[in-house]
Amino acid sequence: MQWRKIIGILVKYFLIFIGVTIFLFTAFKFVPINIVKNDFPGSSIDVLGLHKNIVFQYFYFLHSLIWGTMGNTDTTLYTGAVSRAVFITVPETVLFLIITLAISYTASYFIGLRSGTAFKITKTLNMNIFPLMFLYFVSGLLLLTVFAGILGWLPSQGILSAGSVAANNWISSTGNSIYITRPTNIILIDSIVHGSTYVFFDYLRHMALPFFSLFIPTTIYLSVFISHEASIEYNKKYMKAGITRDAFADNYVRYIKRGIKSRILSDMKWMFVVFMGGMVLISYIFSYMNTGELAIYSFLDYEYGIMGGIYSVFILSLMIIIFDLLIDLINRGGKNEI
Amino acid sequence: MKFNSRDIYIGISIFFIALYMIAFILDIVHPQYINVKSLSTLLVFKKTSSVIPSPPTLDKGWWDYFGTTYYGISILPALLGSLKFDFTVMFESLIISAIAGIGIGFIANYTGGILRKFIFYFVRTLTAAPYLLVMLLILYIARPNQTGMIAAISVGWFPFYIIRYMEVSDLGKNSGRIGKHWTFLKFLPYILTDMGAISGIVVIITYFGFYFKNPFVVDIGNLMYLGGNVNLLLLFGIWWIVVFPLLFITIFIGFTALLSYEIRGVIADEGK
Repeated sequence: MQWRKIIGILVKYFLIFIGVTIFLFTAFKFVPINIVKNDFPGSSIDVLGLHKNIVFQYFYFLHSLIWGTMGNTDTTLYTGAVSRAVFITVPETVLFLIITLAISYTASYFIGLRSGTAFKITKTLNMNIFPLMFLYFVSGLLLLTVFAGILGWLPSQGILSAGSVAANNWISSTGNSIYITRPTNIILIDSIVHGSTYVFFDYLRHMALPFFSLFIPTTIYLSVFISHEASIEYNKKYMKAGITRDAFADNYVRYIKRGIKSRILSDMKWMFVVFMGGMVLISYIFSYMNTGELAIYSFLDYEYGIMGGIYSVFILSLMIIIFDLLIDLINRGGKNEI
Repeated sequence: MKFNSRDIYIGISIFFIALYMIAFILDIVHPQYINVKSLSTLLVFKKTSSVIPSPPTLDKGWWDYFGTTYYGISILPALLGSLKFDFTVMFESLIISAIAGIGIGFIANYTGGILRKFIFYFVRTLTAAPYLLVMLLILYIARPNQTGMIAAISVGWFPFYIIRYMEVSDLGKNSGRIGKHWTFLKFLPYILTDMGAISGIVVIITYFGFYFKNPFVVDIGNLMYLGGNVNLLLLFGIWWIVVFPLLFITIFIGFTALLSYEIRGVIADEGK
């Protein structure tokens, strides 16, 4: 029975994956051929099978997406092969996502359940319906204005300072603000490997504002949501039973956590899509090296950006699909979406 | 007559939203109220010939209350004039996405079975990518102009209405309360929230500095982006070019969210 459910979930996400590729292919077919030829000079355009029937063209496109043969890009951010640009930025993107989401999620549980005001703040739920995406925009620009602009405490853009790049031969620059570091291409880990405390702290300084711009709205949203769900769970399970003891005094929190887990996980899937959008936005505001930033700069360049844009969207969608798949596998007992 | 806190919140929200709507209508029918002949370009708000922004002051008349931005453009009148573009895009996108989403959601629920499953997968496909990037991709294809923007936002937003309709409809069926009036009441808060949310999206997209034919399009996001030197200007302590436009649109979004929340509460209370 469990296996059937797991296979059902895998099939569902496989179909969503195929749907995403069909959507991207449809969008790609609206792009004028002379623009596509900019990214695929000469005979390299054959990899897209444009001389074949449109159904076969989709499979050529799918093959290109999977194997990363997406031509070249020439934007403000990067010049070179699309796949290389994406694979350089993906490790940092994943690390940034994991760090920000994990800390926001933990902090939200702490604030939502343990603050002692958890069951009293549902009136602040209006924050819950304030558009999260716009909160990211506001927090990003305000933090930039105050801490980088007015106070000048933190850097306003980039992922590393020029000094770090110039002083270390394990860091190389490929474009405006895209850096490759050896051996893992994750600056935080590589700075530890090379024992460079300067680069380590320089990286953290640059990460601070993008991190807090994502962390603050996400934590507000999630903690209010967790608090609200916990309040419903508490009223449903304990108030009716006539138990009036302090909910924080004993193990109630543990039972409430267990009770709301499924609903929180289900909501996390929707929140993650907005969170990813927020990350894209924040990375643009702070010019923070990231696949999202690459996607925006690609779409901004009409002549040479489209394949970079499509491939970045594909990779980011893949991250969302994998996240949703993991959530569904963890939350197998949850409500069936269909 | 007694007023509770909910009545007060609703009253204040309606008052502020009405102010924005009045400015929007005046932008269309009588732009002269902000001392300009037309709202075709941000350059009509040019106060000085200096490209360097000047700080807010109360001494030189109301045009300078929020200071000037790049090219000497006065921020306050430009913000008022921006509502024409922003709200036009917002209302048209909202109407298209709501009609398309509710229509498809209705078909899904009415037919059920395989078609409902197909529509579900269709929605999950469109929401498996960050919707901001989906909008930029559509905008790339449709080309950056007002129509392209409406198309992009509508395509990015209508899946949410499909989901909402399916949820509201299922909820109605389960509670035995389905009906046009009930469905409308359930959708009203969503529409109010979306008025704010989509306005925010319009501002965000134009903040990216998308390649409009008119680089001086009268819009809040473009007003902040202008020249693409925001980070540099902020480093020189020129905070007002970001803070005032942000505050201006946040007030509108905040009050639409508050009104939506309170109306949700009223509907929930009536349900009890």
